[in-house]
Amino acid sequence: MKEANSNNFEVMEASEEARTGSGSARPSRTLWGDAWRRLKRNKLAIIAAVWIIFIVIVAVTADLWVPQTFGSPTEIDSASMKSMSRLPPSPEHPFGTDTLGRDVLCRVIYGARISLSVGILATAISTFIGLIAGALAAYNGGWWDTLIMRTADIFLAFPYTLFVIAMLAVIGPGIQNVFIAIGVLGWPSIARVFRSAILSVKENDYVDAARAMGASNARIIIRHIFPNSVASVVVYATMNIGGAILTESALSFLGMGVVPPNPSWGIMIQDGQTYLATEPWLMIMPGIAILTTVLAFTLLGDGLRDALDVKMKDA
Amino acid sequence: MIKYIAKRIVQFIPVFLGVTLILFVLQNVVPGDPIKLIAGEKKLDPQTEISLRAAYHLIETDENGEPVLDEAGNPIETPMWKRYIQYIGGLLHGDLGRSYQQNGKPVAEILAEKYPYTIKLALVAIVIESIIGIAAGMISAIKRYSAWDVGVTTVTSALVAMPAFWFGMLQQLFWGIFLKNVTGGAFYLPISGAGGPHAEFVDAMYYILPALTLAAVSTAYTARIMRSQLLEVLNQDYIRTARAKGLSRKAVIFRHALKNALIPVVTYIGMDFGGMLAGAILTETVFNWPGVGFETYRAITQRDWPIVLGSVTVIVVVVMVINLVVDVSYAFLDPRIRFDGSKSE
Amino acid sequence: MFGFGLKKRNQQDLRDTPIPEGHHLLEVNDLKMYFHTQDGVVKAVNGVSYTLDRGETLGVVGESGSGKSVTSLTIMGLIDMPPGHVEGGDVLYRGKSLIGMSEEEMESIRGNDIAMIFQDPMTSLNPVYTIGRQLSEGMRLHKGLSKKEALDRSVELLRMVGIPNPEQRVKEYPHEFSGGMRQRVMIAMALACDPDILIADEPTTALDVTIQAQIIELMQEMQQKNGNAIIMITHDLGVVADIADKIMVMYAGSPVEFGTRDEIFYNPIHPYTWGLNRSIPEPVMDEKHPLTPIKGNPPSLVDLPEGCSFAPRCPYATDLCRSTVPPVHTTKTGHYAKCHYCNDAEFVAANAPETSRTRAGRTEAQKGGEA
Repeated sequence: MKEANSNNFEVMEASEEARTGSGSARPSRTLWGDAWRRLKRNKLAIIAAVWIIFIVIVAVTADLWVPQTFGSPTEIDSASMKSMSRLPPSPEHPFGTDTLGRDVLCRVIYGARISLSVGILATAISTFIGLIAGALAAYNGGWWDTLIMRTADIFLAFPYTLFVIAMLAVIGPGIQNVFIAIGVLGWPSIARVFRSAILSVKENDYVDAARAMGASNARIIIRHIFPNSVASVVVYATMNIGGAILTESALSFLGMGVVPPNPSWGIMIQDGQTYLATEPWLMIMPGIAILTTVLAFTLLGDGLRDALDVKMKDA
Repeated sequence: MIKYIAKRIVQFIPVFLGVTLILFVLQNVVPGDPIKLIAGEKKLDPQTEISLRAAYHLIETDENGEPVLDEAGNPIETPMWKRYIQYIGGLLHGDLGRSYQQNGKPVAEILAEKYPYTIKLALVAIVIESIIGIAAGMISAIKRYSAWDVGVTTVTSALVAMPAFWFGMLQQLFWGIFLKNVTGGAFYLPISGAGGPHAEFVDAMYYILPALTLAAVSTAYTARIMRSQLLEVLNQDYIRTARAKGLSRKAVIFRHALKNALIPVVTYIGMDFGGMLAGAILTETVFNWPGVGFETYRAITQRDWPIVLGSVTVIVVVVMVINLVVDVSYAFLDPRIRFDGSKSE
Repeated sequence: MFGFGLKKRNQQDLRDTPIPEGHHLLEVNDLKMYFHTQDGVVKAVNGVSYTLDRGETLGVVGESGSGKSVTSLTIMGLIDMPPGHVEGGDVLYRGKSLIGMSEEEMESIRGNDIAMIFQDPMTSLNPVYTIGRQLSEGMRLHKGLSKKEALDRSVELLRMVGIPNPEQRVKEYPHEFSGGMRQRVMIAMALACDPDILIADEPTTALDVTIQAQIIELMQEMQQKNGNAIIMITHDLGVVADIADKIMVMYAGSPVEFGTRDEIFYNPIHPYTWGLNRSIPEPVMDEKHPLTPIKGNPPSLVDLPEGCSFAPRCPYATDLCRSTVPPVHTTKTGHYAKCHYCNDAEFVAANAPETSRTRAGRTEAQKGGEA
């Protein structure tokens, strides 16, 4: 088996040669081209990506068709509230209605807006801070590195959810604060990932070569280090979106996140808890929405990791 | 090895100081004057207010706990740095401040009453996590690509992608409500509370669902780590050496692969104990389990911040100490560290 | 920590059975080991044949991916099946087929009758167990020794392979040993049960040059003492130059030339062997005797070229080579090669490399002829 493996290895080396275009007949490919080719073969990742695109489209276009079909996600029609309260799923209300007579599917769709925006925005904040911190630490080394990485250690010493809860206890609940708390507290992992990616790229001969040819630091970072270490950050960020969605749902469930009547999935599950014995769909539907969305981001992240050949520790 | 342990402890000190500093800052920037939060709608007379401020370490006091007054007869506000030192000192003595409610009962006392419930639950969860997680991961690795392996991978992926509290509610729905209806009330699992007055283990039925819920995500991770570690170890050269010696597949796995694969898994499980304490907030809320987590949730809803931050503080400190212990015990598990003092990763 | 599987098996050591009439200690007949992978069938070993007797040393030479390691792992039964599959051929040890053997029977042969040492001594020992424990294992398994007896014998073995202070060292962990010392431990481990055949897969590749010679010497010394056969796998023709009795040169899963050491060094007839010979550094290097690398890379084992698999890199390749698989030409002495033109004496004489070794060989041959 070993021999067979080493043979595969050679084939890959050959493609690396082809990539740099040094005297091979194979068509030259880019890292991302190769990755795309590999990703396309990963059925699970493609299904996940399709699902994510589907949710995004539904969430973005919701205003155009959802209220017209299912009514408002937040407003309560006090006249029909009683007769509409907690109806079981039916063709008219595929996910049933909640206590206040609102359509559950409608609220799940609007919940997707909140979950996706929290996931994406919070990850964007973490990634932005993490990239800068990681780059500063890795590229400057020395005191920068010690200071930044020790700070990261301190942040990582907190159980994450708990840290976010403590932070929200201070700044108060609400959707903006959820973005900020999840985003700001999430930077250390990204910083670590990016730092180690840079360090491993920095070791490579081609960076030495670039330096020997007199390239400036900024040029080395932008032209050589960044493209080669960004892969691991892309993978990490993709998985992080799922994590942020889970955190948001937990916060909202505890009453520290999104404030009612906004339709967060976490709040819907919390509301549904009361009627667990009689109207379980009230909590099942938003839970399935979380499960599928988070799972999709995880699977896409896994697929990207394999396609981009990023080495990561499990868990 | 001593060098390694010393290094870990030295690394621990700045992290500890940093963490407590963050907690202190959080505690002191909570919006609103704490005394006003305590008083609520009531009007306080100046004397009570001063003694309250003294009790909450907001103003300077003498040895007897009496407030120190300046020349004008006003109390002197304690500077932040001094309050931080007092806070660290208090922390080391187990003083976590006082609740804004419950007649200003010390937070430490409140938490001490609730902790046994939480720890017992976490212990049961750790046992579940270790047994199911390690066994499932091992079988998955040995029978790679089998139906079992696919099943384990699917279930673990789903478990880590769903909110633990939702999983807990599904358990309640199935084992409590559905089963009760189907068996006509003959058999079902309790979905709430902790059984007897002290949550003794004899009330085992009460532990099952909360412990399963608390353990779910961790068990999934344990199984995944076990699987990937064992697969990685089974690919190592020394496994081939052992096979070349004539050891059977089984002997190779149990005598050579398992110890190597278990080292990181045991580390994960050890560190996860802290995670269980943190995760308790959601699980205990779902199951009305009378532990620290539920108390924290209650405090959140009533804006009793000293309890929230106090419980976070305890958990963070416990987690840090556990991580330190796990890190140090790593040295005993892995002979490579015993000698060169570096963890090869 | 787990008491699994170290009891002595109630099986007769095959080593004690005499070799049946007309058989050798080890016979490999047209062995084919293919891997069935997603990307296609990898023909890792494609028709390997040789024989080996006690006290002999066979050198197997080839580039990485030429199937030399897979051949010996197949003999040891250490290839995972699937994805591996023995597509044809047989391996006979003392007249008994190893290919059809049950896993249990193979386990009693592995480490006992046939032992193996591997390329990288740094990773071939389990980092979390003591050297003594790892050395003892085989003896407890195959010879039924007690823990104590096995440990005593381990100390003896360590002393035998030249490790100073063995009583102490036996209690130490692998990372406390240098690379050369670890390879000595590996040799001690392989020789613990006094095997018939020792397979050494690139035993010196990962070591310093100065240590390499010591390890080779140690293996020879042990061979003289025990009378075992050695299969020495290497990518470096120089390593086997002094110790091998026979040499098999492998390329892309098949042997391209097989002969005695003298035949391979002084009278090679396959262009690939010429290439290997030319790439051994010469004592004097000048324009006439340049160090010539073989151009190009070995072919993919999934998609072997039509005809001779060396043809794409062979400077003498003709259309015949590119279309037809060459037959095996065998001489009276058993020296064989797989090339369309290797029995063409003129072609060989015109193109065989002129190196110090071949010159020396020719002079010696002439002397021998005169005497």
